[in-house]
Amino acid sequence: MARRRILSLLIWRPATLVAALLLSGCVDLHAVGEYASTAGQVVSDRGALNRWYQSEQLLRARRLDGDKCPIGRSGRPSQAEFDAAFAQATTVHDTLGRYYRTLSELATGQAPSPAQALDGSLSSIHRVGVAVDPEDEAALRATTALLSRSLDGLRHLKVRETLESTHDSVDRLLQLLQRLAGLYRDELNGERIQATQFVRCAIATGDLADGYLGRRELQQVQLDYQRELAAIDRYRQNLDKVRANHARIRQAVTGHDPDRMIETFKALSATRHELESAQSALRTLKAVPPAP
Amino acid sequence: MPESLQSYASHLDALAEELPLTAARTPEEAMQLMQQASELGGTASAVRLAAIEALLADAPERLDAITAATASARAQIRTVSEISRAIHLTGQVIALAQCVATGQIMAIGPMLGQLNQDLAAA
Repeated sequence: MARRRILSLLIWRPATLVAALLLSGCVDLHAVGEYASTAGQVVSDRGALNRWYQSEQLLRARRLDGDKCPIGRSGRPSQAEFDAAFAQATTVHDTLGRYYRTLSELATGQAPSPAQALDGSLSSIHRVGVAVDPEDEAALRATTALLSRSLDGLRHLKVRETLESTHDSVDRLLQLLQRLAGLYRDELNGERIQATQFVRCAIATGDLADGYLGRRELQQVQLDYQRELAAIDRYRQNLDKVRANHARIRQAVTGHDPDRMIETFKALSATRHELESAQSALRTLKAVPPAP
Repeated sequence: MPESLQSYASHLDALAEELPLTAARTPEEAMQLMQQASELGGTASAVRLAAIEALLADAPERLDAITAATASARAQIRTVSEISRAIHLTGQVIALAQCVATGQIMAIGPMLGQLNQDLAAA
């Protein structure tokens, strides 16, 4: 009896108080967690960055031995300058990716819950043949359930705090990725211009003497680049969505309007599927084959 | 500034595209025009790199803020995980206490073994 009283004083009362304090405004963060995981994949994707970085190499690979016309943009800065910018941009992708993955983990609560931990503990007790007093077990389960809910409340508070403290920085970095993507697109378009002029030069110098084949080659080069440019456009649209949704999540989690929250979570779920299907677009970008 | 660099680079590329290679009358003229296209493209590429560098120059401060918030969130995830582990161990200790209180001497050995194993893993 005395033991139960002590248990009640030590665990029940503080746990109830903590839970009561924290449960106000607690929401199902699963949608936020799943969405953050997808957003993490979008911002971590370095396909467009890699394409920019390898642009010159891929352009020069178009020239075959014996071609009369030169190819490649002359007077470009040193490779070291490109390497440094590439490394810096990589850090932006990686940091944002880690941020979203952590937010996802925090929101979905991937760590085992206290209830799961207790189940594991009780099953090992039963395995060694110890009979636990059913009342003790019930008290322990009730306490753990409360603790689980308190921890959910804590997770919610931490998600809210993380979103509030990082909102401006995340928004600025997403904006940065959007603007960089615009520049990667322009570089690819510049590469398209060089590649098409190279084909025209090959026609003019007689390397591509057959007019019909020359026109076909020109059309093929244009189509290849249009496909790659479209892939970067989709990536930019994805970044637009991630940026818009980041602001919506923050409003939903920090606001107190349940209807709006449900609406936001439904919209996030729809956007998540869109993002996932668009994500494959970047895989169509060309890449320099790895050295044998 | 990055915006004006970006539009300047696009302008250079547009000039490269307008070079009339299809109208070249001799192979030499075509090669000469190709050389000009290459120079315009190279300058456009350099100007774009300058725009990228200018954009990235503001990033470190923002990155530090996000890295700090991510570390703090990670610590929270660890705390939740540690609480779960602590509950698991508490369950084991209660069971051990039950063994002693109810005189189930034979169960004490395996229980202690399990507890030691879990403590080592914690």
